[in-house]
Amino acid sequence: MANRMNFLQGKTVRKVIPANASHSRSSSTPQVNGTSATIYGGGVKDPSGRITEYSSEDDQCPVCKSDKYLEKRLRLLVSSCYHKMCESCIDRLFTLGPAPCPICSKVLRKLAFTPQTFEDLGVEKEIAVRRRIAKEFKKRVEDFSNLREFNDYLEDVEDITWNLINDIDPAGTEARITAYREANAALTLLNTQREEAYVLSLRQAEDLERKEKEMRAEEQRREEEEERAERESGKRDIIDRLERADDADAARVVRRTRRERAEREANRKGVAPGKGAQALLRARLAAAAATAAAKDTPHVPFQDNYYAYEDMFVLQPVYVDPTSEAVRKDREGIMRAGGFRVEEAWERALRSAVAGLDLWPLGQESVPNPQPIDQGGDVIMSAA
Amino acid sequence: MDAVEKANAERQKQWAKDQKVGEGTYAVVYRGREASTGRKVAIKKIKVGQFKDGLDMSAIREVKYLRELKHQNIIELLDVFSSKTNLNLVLEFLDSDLEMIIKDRALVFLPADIKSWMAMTFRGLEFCHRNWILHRDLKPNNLLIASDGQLKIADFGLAREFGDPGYKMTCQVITRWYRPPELLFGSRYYSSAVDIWSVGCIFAELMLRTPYLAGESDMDQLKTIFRALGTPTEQDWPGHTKLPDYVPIGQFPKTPLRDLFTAASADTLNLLSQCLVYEPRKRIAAKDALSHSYFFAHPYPSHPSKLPKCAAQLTAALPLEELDGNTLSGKTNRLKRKLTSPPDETKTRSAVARRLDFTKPTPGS
Amino acid sequence: MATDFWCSSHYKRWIVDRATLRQTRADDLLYVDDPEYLDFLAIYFAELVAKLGKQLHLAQRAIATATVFFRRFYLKNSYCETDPFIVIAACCYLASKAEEWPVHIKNVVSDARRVFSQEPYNVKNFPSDNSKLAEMEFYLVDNLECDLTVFHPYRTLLALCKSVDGSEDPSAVQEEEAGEVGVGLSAEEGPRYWGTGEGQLELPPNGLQTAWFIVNDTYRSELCLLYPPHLIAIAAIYLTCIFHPATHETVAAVLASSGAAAAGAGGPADPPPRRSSRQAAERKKPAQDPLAFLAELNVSLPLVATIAQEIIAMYTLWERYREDGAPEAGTPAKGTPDSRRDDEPGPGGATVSPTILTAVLTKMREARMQDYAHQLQSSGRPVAVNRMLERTQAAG
Repeated sequence: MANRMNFLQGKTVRKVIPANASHSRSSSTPQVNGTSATIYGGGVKDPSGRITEYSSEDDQCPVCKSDKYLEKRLRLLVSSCYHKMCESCIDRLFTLGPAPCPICSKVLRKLAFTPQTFEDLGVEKEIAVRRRIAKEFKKRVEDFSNLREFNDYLEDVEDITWNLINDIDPAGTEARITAYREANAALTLLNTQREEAYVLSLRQAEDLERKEKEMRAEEQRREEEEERAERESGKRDIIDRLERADDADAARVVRRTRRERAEREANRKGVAPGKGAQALLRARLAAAAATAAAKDTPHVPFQDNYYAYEDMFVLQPVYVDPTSEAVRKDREGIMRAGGFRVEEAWERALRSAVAGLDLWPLGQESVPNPQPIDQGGDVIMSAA
Repeated sequence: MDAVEKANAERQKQWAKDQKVGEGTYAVVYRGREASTGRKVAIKKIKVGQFKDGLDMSAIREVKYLRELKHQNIIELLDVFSSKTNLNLVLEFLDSDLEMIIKDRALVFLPADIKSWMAMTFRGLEFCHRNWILHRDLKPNNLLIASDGQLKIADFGLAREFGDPGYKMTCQVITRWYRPPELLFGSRYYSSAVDIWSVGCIFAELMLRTPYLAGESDMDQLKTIFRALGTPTEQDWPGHTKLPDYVPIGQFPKTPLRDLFTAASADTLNLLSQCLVYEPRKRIAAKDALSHSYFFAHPYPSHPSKLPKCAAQLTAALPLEELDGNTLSGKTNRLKRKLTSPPDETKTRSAVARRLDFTKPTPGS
Repeated sequence: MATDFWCSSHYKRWIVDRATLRQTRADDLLYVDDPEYLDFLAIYFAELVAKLGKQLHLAQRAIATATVFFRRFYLKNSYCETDPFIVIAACCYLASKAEEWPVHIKNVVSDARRVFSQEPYNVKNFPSDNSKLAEMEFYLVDNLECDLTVFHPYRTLLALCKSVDGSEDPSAVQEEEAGEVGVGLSAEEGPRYWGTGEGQLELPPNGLQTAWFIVNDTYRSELCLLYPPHLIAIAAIYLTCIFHPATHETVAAVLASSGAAAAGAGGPADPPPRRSSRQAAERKKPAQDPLAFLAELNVSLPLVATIAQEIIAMYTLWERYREDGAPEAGTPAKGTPDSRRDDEPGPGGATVSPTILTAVLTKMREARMQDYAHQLQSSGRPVAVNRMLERTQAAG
């Protein structure tokens, strides 16, 4: 809506192409801006956000037949049914309210005219259609369980687009779009928000980069300043000392002072980036680390090897143990219906028995396994 | 004894108590710090009162189980000390919970985020179940979120051991909206399946951004469940009519989950429906849920550090950063997914509803 | 917390060695005439816990937990400085809650008053006030460092053994056969498949019950502080093989047959260990040899033998512990009394009765109090009499 108002207020930049060059395309690359708030975007913005309008010396209004030759200020606008006419015709026909298009008799409104960007109105139409479709069909690859489904979806979308551009079965196509819109309202909204968030994040990243650049420049300027000041003071220092020293010492003084300066410089280089820059660097590194670490990894069901014990036992369908008798005799099936799983009790008992068997208790690893039964066993057997 | 007291005093000195942040039925929660490192902790002071009736059953349960359970997705009990006549549990500090995040309308959940939360919930729950512990009070409010995005199961005040045949258990557990039908029908013998139902409700809530099965009374809860999932038949759930508190509720047709969860993938709905199976014995186990194809399908679960966080948590997390530098990058990273959208009246409505939910299960066998 | 004993607080913090255990009794040794009394007191207290637990209708597991709580508490405290009776009541109360068998505090107080004031114990001053017990419970939890999860040998026992009982109803027998699919057990076959029923030790009727009672009896000693529960369970199985008459017969028969001839001698003809015909048909193995079974468990057998010896030593001691007056309320010793009488030499020393022990305990505590008073007077500076003592003194 906003940019339509713009051109009506005359903010559009006119670009007049000389007659002999009338077949060349508009020079600026058309850019489709996804965040634009227009619904039926008329015209295409250039990077500076302005709409470059197409016009040529051969322009002639198909309604009143006036042309550039007679009417220097002739400006042709495009209707929503993609027919051109001049501003004065539009004024004449549509000021009193909606009226049929003089060419195809589709009912038009005055506000529904847009400036022309491309020489070929087919291109103009295709861009408008694609822009509209992009607003409606926002599913992403991650919304599908596999690539094939996503591809099918893309093909469907292309199909609808083609139909709209070429006016094949307009009613049916519109119905398809409506059906899709209703079925996917939530997801579309979500994806819209996602896009906005993405744009926001890009802008923030840009901001950050710019700030960083400024800071670095500032840092550099300060460093140069310091260096110059130091060099000055160093020179003065040498002169001072030379004044005080006799000739023999002169060479030594110069040498020493130079050495001192070299040391200072080396020190400064070592410390190089200033505090602010350092903090910034750290923040950047942290951000980078976060992005690197935050890579989504495939799902791993368990993060330990707990179920590696599983081969220690095989749970049988039925056991006879005294404690679960009540469950096994639950003829009414009340415990069963309530969800009690006697298998869990059995598994629990088995696990608690098995878990201890493969380990030497209390760190007595040195005890050998096979023989001692007789020694230990016999002693007590004799007591029996 | 003196040695014991000295050791206790030593331990007490390690932890500094700051301001009070909350109060429950049997405990007061304070924010605190570890004296040596400045690490933030939560200190839960258990009220013993005037030694009237002994320690609260919830306190006993919480202490008993947290003392043993150590897992990435379960809140960690760092220490226990007594001061005068109070028992103090030192827990890791977690600044927000899933309920706050669900209610924060400014946050956008990607399917991958929900998957990540579900995977962490199931992991924590699987760990409880493998150790034969039922949580019995799973709800978004009890799933806490750490500053690094990890989800941790908390509040073991209703937890108990299971798998002992012949032990009767109480059916007055689990906050009503998350309570499975077998408990509503008064089953006294149940299993890990009760927790799975709760997880199913939380799963649905993450997608809907509003409680899925919000009944106003126990009776209404059953009706709400049946309205959403259809009245179970004898075939769906053999023997349920013989449960102690069974009452016929009325016939509701089964409606496919797809009707409500329009944007969900087939895998998602399959796992959800397996969590909400009527017959408890057929409900998916936490261990099997973790191997469900939902978790392996595209998109991968979001890395915990990328999960949406609510505003309160962002501001709370800020002072932890080194403020000498420029924290802008850290902030942008987090703010990335925070969008402004008009406040929703459902937010306040559900908050009121939650406050009105006076489920206070009685501790018992 | 059934499975991960090795990650549990029980294993990490509450299994101690003998020397530590002896150290914890150092204070009491100063006040007791004969050190042997302390071992009797261990039986005496366990008996009391069991009695109070029975009175409160607690499950066996809750009683066992209460006993373990009691033992753990006295790892850090001494008998003479505290009032063991209120500690026992607090242990029962806490265990009832920890094992999900809640009892109201009023019932604990009234039952404790009743049980303790009975003849052999004669403890008349048990506080009738709930708050005293609640306060003690708080100190107990504090002293236990909030570790309320206790592992018991019962589960291991159930998983390792099954009772083969011919008189069961037909459906159960059928189920049992269905459960017995895998067979043959040998150390060379790699990991055993416990769940198949294979590898479970088959005990004759009442064998499992005997083992169960032996486990109950182990709580009369301090074994639960010294060894992991699954080893105690195995030791109990081992003792069952020796003491239980029917089981012992089986063992003897198997030993004889395996000594005389090679495989197959046992076979299905062997009556006591009833095995399904399928098992016998599929593998020609000798009758199950309980000793071989124990040998093939991957545990330290010398340790099991040590535990067995300690259990026997406890029985020897218990033999000399005579309940006088009131008839024995509990059943715990029922499974083994005949074996005790048959196998152990007659009481070596004098018998000890609860009455004597009550007197011993009272004397210890009075002596301790006097010492405190002395210290207070002689040193001139106030000795930090700990708060616990004050409180329990006020109570007892």
